[in-house]
Amino acid sequence: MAYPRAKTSRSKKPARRRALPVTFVPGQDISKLLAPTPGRRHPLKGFDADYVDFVDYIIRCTHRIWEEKQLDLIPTHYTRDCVIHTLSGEVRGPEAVVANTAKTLSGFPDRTLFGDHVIWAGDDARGFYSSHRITSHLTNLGASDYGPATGRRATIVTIADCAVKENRIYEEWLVRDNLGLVLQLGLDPHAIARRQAQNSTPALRQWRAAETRRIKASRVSRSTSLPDEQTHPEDFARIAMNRIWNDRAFATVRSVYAPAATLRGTSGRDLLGHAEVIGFVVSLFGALPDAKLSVDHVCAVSGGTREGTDIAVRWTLAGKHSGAGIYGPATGRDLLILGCTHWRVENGLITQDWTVFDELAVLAQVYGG
Amino acid sequence: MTNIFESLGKIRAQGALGVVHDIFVHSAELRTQTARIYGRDDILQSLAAELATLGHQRVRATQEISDKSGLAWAASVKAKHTGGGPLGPATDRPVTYASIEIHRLTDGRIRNGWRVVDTAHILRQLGVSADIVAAALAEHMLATGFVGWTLGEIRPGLGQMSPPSKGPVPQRIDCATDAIVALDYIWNHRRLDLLETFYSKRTQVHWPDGRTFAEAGDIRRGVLALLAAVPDATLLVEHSVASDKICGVVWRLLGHHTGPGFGIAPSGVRLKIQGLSIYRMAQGRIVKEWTLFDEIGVRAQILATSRRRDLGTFKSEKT
Repeated sequence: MAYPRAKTSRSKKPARRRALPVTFVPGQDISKLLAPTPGRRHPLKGFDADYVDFVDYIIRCTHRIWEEKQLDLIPTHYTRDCVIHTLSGEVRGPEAVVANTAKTLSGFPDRTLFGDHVIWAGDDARGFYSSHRITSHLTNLGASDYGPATGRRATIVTIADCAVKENRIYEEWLVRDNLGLVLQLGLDPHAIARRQAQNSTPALRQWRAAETRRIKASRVSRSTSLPDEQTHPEDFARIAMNRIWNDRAFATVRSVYAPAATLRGTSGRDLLGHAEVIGFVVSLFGALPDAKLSVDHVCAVSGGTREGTDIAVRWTLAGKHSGAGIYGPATGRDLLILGCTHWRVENGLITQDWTVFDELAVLAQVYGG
Repeated sequence: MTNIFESLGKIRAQGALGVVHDIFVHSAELRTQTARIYGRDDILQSLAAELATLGHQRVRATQEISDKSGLAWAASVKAKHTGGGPLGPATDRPVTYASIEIHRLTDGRIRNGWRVVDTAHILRQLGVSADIVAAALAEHMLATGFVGWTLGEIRPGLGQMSPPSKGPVPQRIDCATDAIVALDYIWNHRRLDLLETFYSKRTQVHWPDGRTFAEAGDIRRGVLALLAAVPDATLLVEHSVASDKICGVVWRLLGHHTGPGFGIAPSGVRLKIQGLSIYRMAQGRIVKEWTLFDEIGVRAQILATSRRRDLGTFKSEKT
């Protein structure tokens, strides 16, 4: 993928300044990320003047809002009618975003948000799309949705996918490893999931039912041959996901993942190699034998000082909990999973996989939420 | 690159902990047998804790390797047991132990790495019970949300098939690729008869717990002891760095603890043993090897997984 380049001015000087590339996050130190060399690297119509490119916008507005606690920036970075999708419910409007951010900071005041990657697509005319992978350290110093403060510290991964135009996020899909968080806080995830189930709303259940219908009705690619991931990353991702998840061609893992590929999953899954990656996929089908997966968005970047392509996939999986397995005895309930996956692909093989979904919200569905 | 080697030594010998900010990216990750330490502030804290426990360190770099992707650093450390922590109350006793770390770099800073310290050797010199330390480590793992996920089969081959081959048996070990193929033959194909082909007759092999092997027969016994403890062991190479006639390899050995070993009765738990090896080659043979894996950390993993293996199944609760 070619990066948009900043326009170079035609000055009288013979030496032309080399255009700076759009920020590439992995391996960049925070000191550079938060103090980029001034000057636009690509057109950003309607964005605040100090953002040098779209990736910089994502990294620095996240830092300012969460770590500098500038919640007053939320109204200038979210549209009035913005919607944030999570598996435990939708959030609408900047006031609700401010309230939720403040609530999280009250429970976890020291939450840091390390930007591990921003995989993106688009331009300022059509709008941008980002998939932002974040690792957070956070200490539970105040009461939270999970109960009174525990004083314990945790490290979790979040992926936030955002659709953005003119400095404002108008739609966001947020997946956070909430079960991993609860486990690290030493809490009983089953008790919390049951509580969440009791508090679930008809609107949430209706949204999930509509999503389940959408996924069941969605068309899937019939293609089985994987294209080059550098020239056709979207097709690569869609076909690979479809082969593994919808065709149940689990052996595809052996042809698309490197033998020593790592998978950082939710709830402490720290997997290595083909057998464990296949084991992860099969474990979900054990619980949801009729599951179907919809690939809802794909974007990709390449570059930086590293070779290879980084691909972000947002997906939704729906299935009936009719099998015993990781989610306990079958309940017959429809379960929905909203997930995001980041792949690092080198020489045609996935070498690193980060797959995040809110497994606590899945557990709440198991308990009837 | 030289600065990073110097800095790694300076951190330990002089307590220059702040140097971590210069040589690690803010989001760096350091993996040990029992922890994945994310972020350079946490890495700094882990080093501070190590230096508090094992102070007055004198460090001698035994191997330094660098290539465009990263570096490997092996050291022999002399220290005093000056603090508490998982090693128990300070005894002020001197200890000598080996450590190896291998790192990936981006723009001259460490992005992620692996580190192994020969904890078993330290404990033996201090006369501290490995059982107690392993149990304390397991408690810590459990208290910080450890889940012993057991997903998928583990076996060297596919189904009933023999393990896949990475290539013909190398008749000479001259580079990292040869060493990795040799590792595959030894561990995944169980071709311990090839040790004499891969190793020099006057080899020196340094293994955990301060063990030193001087010939292929000794290495064979060491490999067999591990295979006895983990009969279905499969070794995967995650990363390597190499320069002329020397290379560093990051590997993980996956399998089930179904045989005798690690000082614990066969538990059946899924194990992932992180190992780091450095090979020095001459005249087509391995003439020196430094291999470390944290045996105490492995014991802690067994204890923690034994107690938490059901957590991943969510079957303890009624709906």
